[in-house]
Amino acid sequence: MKQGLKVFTLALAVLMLTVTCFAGETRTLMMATTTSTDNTGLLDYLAPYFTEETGIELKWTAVGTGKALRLGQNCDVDVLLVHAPAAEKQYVADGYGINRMEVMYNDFVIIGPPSDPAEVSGKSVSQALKAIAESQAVFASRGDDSGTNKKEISLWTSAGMAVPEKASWYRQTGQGMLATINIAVEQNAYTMTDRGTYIKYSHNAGGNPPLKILVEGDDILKNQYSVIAVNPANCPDVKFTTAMTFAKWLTRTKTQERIAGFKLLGKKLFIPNAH
Amino acid sequence: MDFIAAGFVKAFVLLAQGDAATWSAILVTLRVTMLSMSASLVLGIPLGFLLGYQAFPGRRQVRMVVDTMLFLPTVFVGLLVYAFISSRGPLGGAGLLFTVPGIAVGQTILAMPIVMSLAASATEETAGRLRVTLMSLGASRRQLFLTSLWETRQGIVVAGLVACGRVMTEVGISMMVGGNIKWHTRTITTAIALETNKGLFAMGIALGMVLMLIAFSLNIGAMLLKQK
Amino acid sequence: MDFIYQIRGLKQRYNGSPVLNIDRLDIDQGIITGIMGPNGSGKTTLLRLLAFIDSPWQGEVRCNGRAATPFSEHIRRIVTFLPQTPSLLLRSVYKNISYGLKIRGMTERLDEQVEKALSMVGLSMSTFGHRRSVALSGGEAQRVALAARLAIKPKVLLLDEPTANVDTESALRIKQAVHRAKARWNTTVIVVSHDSQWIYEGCDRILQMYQGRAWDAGNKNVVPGPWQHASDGSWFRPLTNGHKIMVSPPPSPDTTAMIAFSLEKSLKDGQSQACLLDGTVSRLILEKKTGRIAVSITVGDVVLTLKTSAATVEQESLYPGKQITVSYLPGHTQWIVP
Repeated sequence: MKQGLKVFTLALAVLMLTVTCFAGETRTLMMATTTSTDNTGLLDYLAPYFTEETGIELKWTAVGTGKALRLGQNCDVDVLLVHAPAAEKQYVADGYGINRMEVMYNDFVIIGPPSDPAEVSGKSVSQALKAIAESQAVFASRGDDSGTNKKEISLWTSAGMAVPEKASWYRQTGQGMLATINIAVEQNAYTMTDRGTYIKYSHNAGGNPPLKILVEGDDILKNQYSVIAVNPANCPDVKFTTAMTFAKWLTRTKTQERIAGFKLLGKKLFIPNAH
Repeated sequence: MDFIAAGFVKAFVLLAQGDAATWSAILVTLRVTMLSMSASLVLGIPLGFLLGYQAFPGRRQVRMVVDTMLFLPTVFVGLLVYAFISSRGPLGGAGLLFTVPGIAVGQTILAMPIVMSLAASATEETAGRLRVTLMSLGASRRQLFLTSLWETRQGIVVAGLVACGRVMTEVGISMMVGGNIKWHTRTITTAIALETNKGLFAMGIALGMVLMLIAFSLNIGAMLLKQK
Repeated sequence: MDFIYQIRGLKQRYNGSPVLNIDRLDIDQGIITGIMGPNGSGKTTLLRLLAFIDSPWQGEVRCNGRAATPFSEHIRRIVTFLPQTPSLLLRSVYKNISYGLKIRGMTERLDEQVEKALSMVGLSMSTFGHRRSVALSGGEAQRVALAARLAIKPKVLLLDEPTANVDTESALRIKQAVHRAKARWNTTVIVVSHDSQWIYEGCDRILQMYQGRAWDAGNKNVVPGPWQHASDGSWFRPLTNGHKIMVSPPPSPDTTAMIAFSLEKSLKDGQSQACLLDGTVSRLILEKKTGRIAVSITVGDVVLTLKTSAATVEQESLYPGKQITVSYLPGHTQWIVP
């Protein structure tokens, strides 16, 4: 008797919990974005406004840029928000994405130990990288085909150098930005990071982080974010209209103002530049 | 190091203050676990029991396959399930990607070999002796089968616990198939991965402690069941 | 008397090797049959076949005149078996005993039936009824297992070493319960035991087993080899007291012999002379059924058992420690070939 009651309550609990999985159909939009974008907290800040003003719930998964593009290609998401312009343009050209619109930018910085063994402080990106290569100072790279990683690779290319893949001082971590920074700290190395992650890292270190910004402001360090709708020609079942609603909302003046006003740990991060 | 102590305290704070994100992760974890455990127990216990109880041609080979599947890496399973339920995949129409049932499918694949292998082992251990005991009391074939199944309950509970532990703590499938979508498919483990990646180690520890508390309560329940 | 079991041409194998070979054996209903023999002689194998837990490799076991197989309906109702190894279910003592009753639908006044069965083995319901099977000592567990089988008032009770590995009190209770069962319900009892005292005192018939063969215990004794070949063509086995046991030529030097011994000094068969062996009387047991005395005699490193009358014992003044001579005819050696 007692045993039967136990089984009954268990079954009831299971039923209640699982049934709620299948409840409620509101309008939703599935987005793929990058981990660094998600980590800034901007989406958590904007999403409630979007729902309030359009009645659509924004759901997003944060993965590497490569995977985000792949998800769009496989028709698993409706819209992308990424920051790898060269790859994005190719993506649209290949017919996977459509109506690419620039939304905002922030920047990348090169950080390194205060002792600055390669003497890169204040130099331009090209000069700094050349100095690092010549002095064979340790450089930590994400090496994970992410937007940040692609950016870093483009820096080497624009400096007229091949990516030092096989060099012993070029350490590819294959991990996220914070993990890579931590590894750079351990190895007293230089690395390239987005400002947002650096702000957080600096905050975590109580305002006095072991690695300091040594190179910034160079035009090439601009990190451009764009929204791309998944092409319905490639994915007939995708929510194209809803995706366009989101894209238009992102580039609207009101939203752009909100983006400008967004602060990460008290510091401004993004500069809106939709046109 | 001090993030461990900070995390420990934060765990209770999060639960006591009813932090919405944390409780959402707890609920998602419980939902996914309930689904995957129900499926793997309902399928795995009878199959595992039969594997240990009944001799049949090819039995050893089947057991070898099941035992090999104990070594399935979660990311690997996640990738395979994604391939099937992605829009482009054969089961794309089912709309399972980025959902709780989708994660449960992958976790069932993970849990079933565990349930089957452990149930089979528990059955094998007792089957011979039970056969003599029950036949000597006059049991029919059907009674022998059913009573043997009930007699093996302790081993089966262990099988369920081990499988549940594996399933509740995996990240690979939840991440790959669930997408770690806040409020929807963010489980405690994917949340830990996220917070750790963001460098918020104390939060990671806190969530880990929450998971351990849930596991502890589950085990108390299982112990009461065993003592019956 | 009816035969409850009729065995014909029974052969059993284990992992391909022969373990049982009984040509013909009939077991009477309503009596206690004891089976003795060393480990590996096939006693448990035989019991399992009589319990219809296993199927024979060859041959037939008829119960109540009907052929049967494992799970046969009419067998399940009436034949019970108490194995040597622990055989309780993972539940309370009460539930263990009521199991057999429940599957037979004998659930009227269940509490009373369980209590009666427990008292038969000397256990009280209040103390033991709700104890879990894992919380019992070896002796208590064996008693509960027996009670579970007695509860259904079986027609046949097969027991495999029921008092091995149990404490003295439990052994006593078990033996008492077995005899009560026979007295109350005319249960046929077949018991395998190393407790030769109990077998001799309690059984109506005694079977001896060795290397898969069975025969009625008498003056025939099992004498293992190895046998040596003397220069004069005779075969013998030396004993530690300097004597030799002579035999007829063996099929192989390692074959076990079966030799009938006697206390008669003038034993002869007309052709050959009897051989003699000196030994010491080590034990005397009364065979309750027949009134005869089983005398154990130590001859070097071999122990022989002979049956004789109480009169002879008195006449020859047989007592433990007495030096005595036994005789036998080597030409009549029987060989046990598995």
